[in-house]
Amino acid sequence: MGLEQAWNVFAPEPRRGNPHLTAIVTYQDGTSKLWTYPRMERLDFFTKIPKERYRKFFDDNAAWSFPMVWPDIARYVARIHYAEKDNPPILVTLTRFSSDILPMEAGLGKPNLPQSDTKVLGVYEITAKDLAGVKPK
Amino acid sequence: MSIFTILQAWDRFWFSEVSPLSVAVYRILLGFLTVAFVLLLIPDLFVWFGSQGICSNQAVADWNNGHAVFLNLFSFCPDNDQFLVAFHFVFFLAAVALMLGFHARWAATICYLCLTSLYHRNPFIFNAGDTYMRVSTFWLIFAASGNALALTGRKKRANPQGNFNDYKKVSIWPLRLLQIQLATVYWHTFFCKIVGGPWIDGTAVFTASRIEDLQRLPLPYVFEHAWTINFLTWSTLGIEGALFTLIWIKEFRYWVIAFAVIFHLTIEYHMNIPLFEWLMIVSYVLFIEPEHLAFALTWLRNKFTKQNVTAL
Repeated sequence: MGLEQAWNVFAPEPRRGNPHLTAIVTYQDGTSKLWTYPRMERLDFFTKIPKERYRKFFDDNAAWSFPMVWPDIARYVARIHYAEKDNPPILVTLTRFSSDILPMEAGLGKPNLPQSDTKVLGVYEITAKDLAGVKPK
Repeated sequence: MSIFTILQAWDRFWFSEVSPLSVAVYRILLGFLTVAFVLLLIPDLFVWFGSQGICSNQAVADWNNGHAVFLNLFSFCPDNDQFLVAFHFVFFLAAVALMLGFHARWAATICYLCLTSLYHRNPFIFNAGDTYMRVSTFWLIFAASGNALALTGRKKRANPQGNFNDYKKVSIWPLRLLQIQLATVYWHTFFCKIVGGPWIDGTAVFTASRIEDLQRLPLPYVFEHAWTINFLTWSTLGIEGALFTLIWIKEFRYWVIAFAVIFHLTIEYHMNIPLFEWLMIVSYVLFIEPEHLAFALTWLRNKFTKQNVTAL
């Protein structure tokens, strides 16, 4: 019914990490491209507002859990990078970069740690079926 | 106190009558935010919900452990982008109708169906504010929010006095449901926080302020000193606690609302969670006495139309 609800906002504790995801798209000819979504910390005040769903999808959810959406993300990234009919994307590698947020005793007055912890979430093969119906850009 | 007195109080709480003004003002404000919600989704509509988008129906089914979802209009036309466009257009019209009070119950019903369908199509992009919008539109279906400040039935309701105190009274229970919904939000978040850890030791706001993707505008000094962080963390608990307890007591109500508005505006300033804080702020109108709302509306009308009608 859509009436289920949970209001554990920042509870029992706020998220303790800063993540971002990247995807490396590998083409048939061996070349590759790096992709990331609109990251809030790089956007201006006004652009952030309509793009906040990316933050929710990637930074709150897909970066940490919900592995069922990772193949979909890979397929989506492959589709938007499908530029030449004779050189389609064949692999997408999803990687999470993150850093822990220091506890207050250690972090007060210091900048956040760089997002340098790396974890490969998956390497996904892209098939012709995944690109069906997409016109090369 | 006798059982009879308790039963009488229960009866008054649920079954007395009240001016529809509070729910009408809430409908207008919620409708406005729903319009904003619809418009903000447009630039990436196909990314989130499209047939070639980032989240498949299969992924959502897997998330639901294969259980069927009861309410999802996209089930009728899965992976159909034309349907998605038509759906979103209807949602937009319904949100505008809700705001203007054009067949308000139907508009609330359509908004609820659309919000629920979007949630069931891609639950991974929605936050607690979106959930609040969804359940609020559901409760609005039962409220007589179209009995005041609404396009439909406007001529029938016209009164020669020209103030906002003369609306025909309506059953209070839908307003109570909306009020209890708001109190439930704060009750649940309060008890999720006081289980221990950073909300009790006073450091939670520090961690929240360090989430880079949430930051909007900097708040100098505040997040750099332990005492301000402790103060804000415990104040959050205090305000959230008051919002399901003291808000019911007339003498405290407006103080609680004033602090809650400041609390949410501070979050709105520092954090980029579009609409969430505004959804909570506009809900406080449900706790404002109708005669006070009538006074404010009359004052506003006098100011902007240069009429001179007695407010109370």
